[in-house]
Amino acid sequence: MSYPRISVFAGSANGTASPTRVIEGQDTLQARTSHDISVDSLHDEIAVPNPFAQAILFYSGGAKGDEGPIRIIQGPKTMLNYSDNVTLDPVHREAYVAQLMNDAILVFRSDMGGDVAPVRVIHGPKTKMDRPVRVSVDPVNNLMAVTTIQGVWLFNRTDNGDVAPRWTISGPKTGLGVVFGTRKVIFSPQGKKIIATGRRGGAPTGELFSRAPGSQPFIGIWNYGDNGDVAPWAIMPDTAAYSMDLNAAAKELITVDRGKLVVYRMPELFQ
Amino acid sequence: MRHSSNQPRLILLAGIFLLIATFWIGGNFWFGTAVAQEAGKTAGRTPIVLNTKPVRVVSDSAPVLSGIAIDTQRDEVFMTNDKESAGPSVMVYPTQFQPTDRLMEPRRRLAGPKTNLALPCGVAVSPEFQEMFAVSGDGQDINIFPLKAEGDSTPSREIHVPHASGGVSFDNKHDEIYITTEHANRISVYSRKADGDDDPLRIIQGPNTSLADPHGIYVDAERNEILVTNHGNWRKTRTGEAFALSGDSKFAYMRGSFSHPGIVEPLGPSSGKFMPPSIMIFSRTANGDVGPLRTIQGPHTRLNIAVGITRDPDSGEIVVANSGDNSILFFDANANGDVAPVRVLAGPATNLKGATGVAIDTKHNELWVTSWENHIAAVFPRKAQGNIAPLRMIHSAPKGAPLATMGRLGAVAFDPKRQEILTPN
Repeated sequence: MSYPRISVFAGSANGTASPTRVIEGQDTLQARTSHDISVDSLHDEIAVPNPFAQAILFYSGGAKGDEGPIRIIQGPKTMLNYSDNVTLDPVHREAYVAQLMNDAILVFRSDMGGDVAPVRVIHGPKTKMDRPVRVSVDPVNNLMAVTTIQGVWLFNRTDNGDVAPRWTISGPKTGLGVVFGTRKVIFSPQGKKIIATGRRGGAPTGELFSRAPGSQPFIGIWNYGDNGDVAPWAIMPDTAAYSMDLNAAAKELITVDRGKLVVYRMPELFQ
Repeated sequence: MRHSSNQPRLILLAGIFLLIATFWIGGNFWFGTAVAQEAGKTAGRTPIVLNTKPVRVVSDSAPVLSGIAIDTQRDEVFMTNDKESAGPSVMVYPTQFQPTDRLMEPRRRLAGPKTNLALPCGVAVSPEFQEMFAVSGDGQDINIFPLKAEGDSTPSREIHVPHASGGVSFDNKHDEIYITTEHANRISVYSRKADGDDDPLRIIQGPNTSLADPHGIYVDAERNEILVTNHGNWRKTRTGEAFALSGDSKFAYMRGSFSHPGIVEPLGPSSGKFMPPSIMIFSRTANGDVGPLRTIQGPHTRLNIAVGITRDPDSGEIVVANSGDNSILFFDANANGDVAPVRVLAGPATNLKGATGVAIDTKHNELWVTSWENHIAAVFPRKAQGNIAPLRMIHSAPKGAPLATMGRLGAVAFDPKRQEILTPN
């Protein structure tokens, strides 16, 4: 079985390029199951989750080899459960975690470590959150996107407690939701776009529609404010991605899919 | 007249076509081409189609060698390839071959969607029953195949097990399959004949077990012991706790899976903590929330992301593949506590880079090690130690191929400060 590590590639890497550095080893305290990673370039830090030790690990931006975390959020007050994801908001120095097992979003101060309580918890019947798996933040437009089993839930960034989402993108026209293969949703604050993966077509087979014979993956792009069962503004057909991020300066969409790093030039996302 | 008699039928067909087209477009099918869209108008929207091609792709298609098991009756070695970009597979090679530094094609390769292999981590074999057992850290089944299976073959049966069960060992004497589950700090023991949702015969799970992210497992039927490597990531688990992320197994119903709502757990105190990596030795018949007989743990052990584990049946030595520092550690049969290995196989001459699997060929007195990063399986004398070269190696990639760095890429982030792309395994 492969072992826990973070591989770091040059932004221009192509072909069979090797990583410029690798963060790996027992002292890094990583688990083999790191389903998310986030970079705070303002404060030069990297964050990854460790779901098995119920922890969020922070490394210095240039960490390499068997270098341990500079800070760890872990302990009873954190309420971290099976938390395999984390997103940093560098502007407000916050860390967001979706809790699959609790139908909740936990928000922590990202400059504090140890056994700390979340500064905000979004949880309760008004949220209508069902099995949230990832969370993303737009600190410029004060938005938070949560991937749930049925679609994407949009909240105000500062929402707290039992609050209804500001709007949702959910329904058969969207092709979104964890059952459709949606994982990480990303924002393009400049273009006011929401980017997510989904599936379309095929014959529904119960709840596991994402495995429906004949269905095809796509990357969909929605505009801020698109609400309800609404088709994407644009799609990249037959394109799958397990996770994504943007290189805004180069106008690039960076994806990982089936063990590959794939980079697209997408000026449309920034207009 | 034929023309006039067909007219109503044609009108009816045209009507049906229009009705289907309406529902087709109204669903999540948007096979239209690019159309102008009015800002703010979303009803009846047809998406713009962006046929954007990648400008760069970082990929490595060379298979890695990871989990390992040896069939001494047929002189064959079974190894898993859990690299997603390289067509996850189980590959079978002869154990005896002329030394070569060239790429060696497997004698058989089991791979494809029908195999249900996902990203296969552990493999075990039963020459007596002519069966192979494969588990995946990304799946939720023990997939059982005939030993000679190859190609895109369907398993002869599947035992539904908790998600992320990555280590497997077979006890021929008692006809039992042993697996580890990293997500649930659990060891499960199944009858070899189990199928589908059959319950395990025994489980070892709960706070008293101290299991902390278990990976490799080896069952010793003669000494009545189970050996397990732990990475040290611990949280409190309940005895019997497990889940499957998808599918319709009973585990998929237990907690919140992607396919079934399950139980929504209340928010509560977190129990997670980091423990030193360890090797735990349990009684073979242990059941429930019971502690290990012995634990090898502490700074003298040199344990560092230990994955594969086996035992020399003659000496009783415990052998682990220590992926974190490219070494093979050998511990005394009765080792306990913070003890140093009795010998270590490590150094540049060994060619080991990310050792994940280890097995002993008792017939030929050889030690086999899989080395994940540099795509090799290295064969050493059974009592090898120090910085020695392998007797021979299997290469699953051409000479000069770059080191493997990506297994399954779970996420990606861009660092604008350093202009770098980061991705965890």
